[in-house]
Amino acid sequence: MISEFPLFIFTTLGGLSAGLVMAMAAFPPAEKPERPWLAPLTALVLLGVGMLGVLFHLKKPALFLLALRNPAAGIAQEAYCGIVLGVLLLALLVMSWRKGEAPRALTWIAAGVSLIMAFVMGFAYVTNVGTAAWANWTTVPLFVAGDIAMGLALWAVLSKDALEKRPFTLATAVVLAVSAATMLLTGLHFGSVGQGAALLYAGLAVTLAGAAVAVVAAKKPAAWQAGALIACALIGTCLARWAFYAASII
Amino acid sequence: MTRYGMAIDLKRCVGCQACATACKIANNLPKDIVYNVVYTKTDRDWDADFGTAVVRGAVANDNAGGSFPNCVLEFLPVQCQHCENPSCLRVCPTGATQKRDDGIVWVDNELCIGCAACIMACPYDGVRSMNEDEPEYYLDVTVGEYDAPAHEAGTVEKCTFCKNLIDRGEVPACMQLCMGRARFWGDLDDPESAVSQAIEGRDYHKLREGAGTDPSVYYLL
Repeated sequence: MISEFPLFIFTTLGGLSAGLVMAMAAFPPAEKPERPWLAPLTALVLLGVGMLGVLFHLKKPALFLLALRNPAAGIAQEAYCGIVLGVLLLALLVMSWRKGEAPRALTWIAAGVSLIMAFVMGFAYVTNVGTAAWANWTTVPLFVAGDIAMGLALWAVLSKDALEKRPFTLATAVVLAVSAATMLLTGLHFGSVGQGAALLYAGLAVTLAGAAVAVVAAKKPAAWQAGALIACALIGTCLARWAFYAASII
Repeated sequence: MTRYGMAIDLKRCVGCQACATACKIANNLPKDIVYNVVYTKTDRDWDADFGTAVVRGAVANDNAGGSFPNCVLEFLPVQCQHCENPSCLRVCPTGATQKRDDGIVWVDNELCIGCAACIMACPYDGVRSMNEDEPEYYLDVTVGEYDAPAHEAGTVEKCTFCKNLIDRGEVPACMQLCMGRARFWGDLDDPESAVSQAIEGRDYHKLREGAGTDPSVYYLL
């Protein structure tokens, strides 16, 4: 077990939620979905579980509200983004449930906050100059690309028609390939500071397999591809994040 | 304006561990908590690796390195560097890590929630300790200064430059027992202070300056 398991849970589930919201905004369903509340609810639950998980990172979880005091700190910025995104997702959920759909503008605002949160989650580690493996520019794209890749893959599962849209499958293939590239760059950096990178490279291979699935889906969509996409994106990203947190000095 | 700092003369340090012991006692430090570690080094690359220490699991504190007749044995006392630009300050979400006007960086244990961000952000590994559980002590009685820092489970601790002593006109505890007179303390902005006088005309090294923290501890070479 890694010492930073709560952070692993937070950035994986929170990042998955953020990625899903971005995918929802970028590739809305062509027709009114049967269960319009499903995606916002999924994103909200993922974010909630992730943020609950991060409490276990604190030695004094009961005092977590104190973590909002310093806006310059990465942890505080993550909390601000998480809270704002949570409120927006709740609004999306209520509107989708009551009216059958949510305003596009609101989805885009939530997607913008999600992108900021993905960036903040990565940048928080860049400022940790005491942890050489983390304090590198590659950390930000590792997190942002990983989050978007997971989100697109989950949207392929939740959305009825996403896989049938060529722009979606091509975008998914590109993002998964970029995510794999960030794992390669992070692995090279890990090697340069004497940190093991085997899991990062394993994540890279699995993520590339996901990109291949997306390419196949762009040519000939099939039902099995959504499951394969989410499995590859999730396993690949989780392997990379596990390797990342294993480099913690604590 | 006063800007406290310390100079440690590596030519005078004999690795006696008296500063580490004085720190431990004056601050009534629990088991497993250290503010000040005197490392043994078998090279003179001060930044790459601080070296070994019994408190960090080494068997002994006095093993020379290299091959005869070119043996190397150096001692490197390391504590919080009370940086001018502390990386721990930026990342502390609660504001528990604070920097006083006189440059002393300290942790308010009432605000600390034990997130360990400061530990991960600090380029000087090992200068901070996390009180994982309720502190345990070697003695049943409280030792040290009456106003020693509190020790509380779930909080991070580190060297305070003995601000409790400084505020009543004394010097840090690590200064008091240094048998080699290797440590110099005072106002870095005052050219007449002991620390400024010690640095004057000497070659010195500041640890891991590449991190951009601008430490206030000068190692005289």
